Amino acid sequence: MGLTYIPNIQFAPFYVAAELGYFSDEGLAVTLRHHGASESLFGALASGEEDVVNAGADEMLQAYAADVPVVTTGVMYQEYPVVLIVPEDSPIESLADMEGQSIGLPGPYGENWFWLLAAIDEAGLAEEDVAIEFIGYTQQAALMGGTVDGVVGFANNDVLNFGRSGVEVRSLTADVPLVGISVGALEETVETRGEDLAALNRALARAMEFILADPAAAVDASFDYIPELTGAGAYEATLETLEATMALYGDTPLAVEAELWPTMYEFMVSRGLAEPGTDPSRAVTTALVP
Amino acid sequence: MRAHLRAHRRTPGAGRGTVHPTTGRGVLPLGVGLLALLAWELTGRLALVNPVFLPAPSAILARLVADVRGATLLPAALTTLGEALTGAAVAAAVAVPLGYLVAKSVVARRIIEPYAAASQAIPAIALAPLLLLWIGPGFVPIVVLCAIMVFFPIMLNTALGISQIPRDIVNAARLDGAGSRVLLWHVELPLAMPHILTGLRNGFTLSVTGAVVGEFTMGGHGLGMLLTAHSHSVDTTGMFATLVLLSTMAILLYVLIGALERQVESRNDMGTQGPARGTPRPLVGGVLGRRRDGDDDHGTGAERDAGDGTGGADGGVDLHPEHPVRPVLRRG
Repeated sequence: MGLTYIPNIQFAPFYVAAELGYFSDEGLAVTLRHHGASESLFGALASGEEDVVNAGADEMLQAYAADVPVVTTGVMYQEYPVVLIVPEDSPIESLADMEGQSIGLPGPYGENWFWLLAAIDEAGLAEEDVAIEFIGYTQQAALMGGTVDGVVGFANNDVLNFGRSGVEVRSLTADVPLVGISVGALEETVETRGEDLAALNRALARAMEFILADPAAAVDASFDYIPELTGAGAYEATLETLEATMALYGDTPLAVEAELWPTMYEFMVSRGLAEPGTDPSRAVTTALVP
Repeated sequence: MRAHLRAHRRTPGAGRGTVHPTTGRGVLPLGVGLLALLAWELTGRLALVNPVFLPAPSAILARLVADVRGATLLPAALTTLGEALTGAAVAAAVAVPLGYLVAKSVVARRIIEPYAAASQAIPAIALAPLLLLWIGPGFVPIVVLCAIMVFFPIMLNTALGISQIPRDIVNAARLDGAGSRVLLWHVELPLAMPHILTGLRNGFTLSVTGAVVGEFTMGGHGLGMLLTAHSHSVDTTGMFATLVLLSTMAILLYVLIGALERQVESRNDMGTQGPARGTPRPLVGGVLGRRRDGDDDHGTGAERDAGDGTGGADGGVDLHPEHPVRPVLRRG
């Protein structure tokens, strides 16, 4: 199971399912593997080193169109997690106010980039109307130092980090045609090991129910998986991040709305984010949802 | 003895087989490279390897041409090159004087050496988040990261070059009345220049890596960012095309500074042999040669002093950057 980011409480469903034996209850032997900072999202999946991956459904669709046939089997975040973060006293009150302002994000890739392009569309602006700055993972330093007027980041992580640094910020959301963090596997794995994937989803859904019922216990269960949890104040910060993440889960854990894929693909192709000529309905399945 | 060494150096590969040394040096690596490319191309054409893992060279070349014609790749390359060159230049501006100081002063060496060595134990990428906190994002922290990465090889080579100047030459220059400043500009720096340039060659090449690592971590609009973007979108052909351009940049820097190095080496060789009449006097002969004009048949003072049986061979060999030297600073 590939987790495409460093150890973090955002992966709590995996930690909880492993720690509380939900995977083994389903007859699965699951090894969790965090990706390195510069590691490709789907390289280990394509090479067969991983069977399942946790990444954005939009990123999976992009890979599918690039001949790495990753199929989304369950959507973990029903709400898209990316937002525009601006200082509390910023003149940016709406997405349209991005015009003429400098907006920083890690780079022209990933969910932050997809979201910004969609948000610019929603605001009725063109890409050239916004001064886009690629600043790596330095949103906090860039916004605090005044290098940019706003940054794109995750609602359940970056926004909270600003608060912990004593910086008062606001976040602006957008109604984007994108689907966020999900679980996926290669097309071949879906065809040959559908039962295993369905069992994995059942274990994850059970873990998500556990987290929703008792987030503090979920942090306890995740203790051995997150090195940062031993630091001063880390427990409270981690619990806060988990509660913000829970808000993205939606009402039905791992529910998949397959009808969103054609719209998402159309948008991605129109902005040069995905290769044309793919049937987007093949990049998603609802058959394995618990 | 020196003539013998020089002749030996200039015929590498002589007597090692039937391949002509000059021809073999160029043709053999080229042939091996072409064979490897052919095999690589075949793996792509015969679909032996998924292009997501290894695209064919022809596909990479086509992509490189398309990207160079496009609006992204060349500006990105210029950005990375600017960061790398600025970083290396900043490092050189600090490392060369410090290297000189380390070679000349026992106290300075004892103070600087441990810290300089310790700084090399820290992976440069681990410094990036700190640089961001202290400086903020943008061009400057990437330049600083480059400078930190290339500082040590430049300082080490400078110190090595200065410390390996035969004491006899320095003493002779002093006897000729050379003061510290004249000694520095007309004797020590010219003689140490091959080593300094070796450090700069390695440093400037390494600085390209520094810029890419910086962009990985701190963003920007260069080739490192482009690589990250290609990686995220599973665009392996784009990654390879970018890597080809990166390698080309590093090789060009290496070759350019290497050419400069050879030019300096050649001037130094002239200095140790004595210049032909009508040619400009080499830097090394500037001070030492003044009293010995017309003495060319016997070599310059520098050569004669260095070859007086107390270290002449060492003096001659040490001046040559290709001669293997032990990469440690001379202990006082």
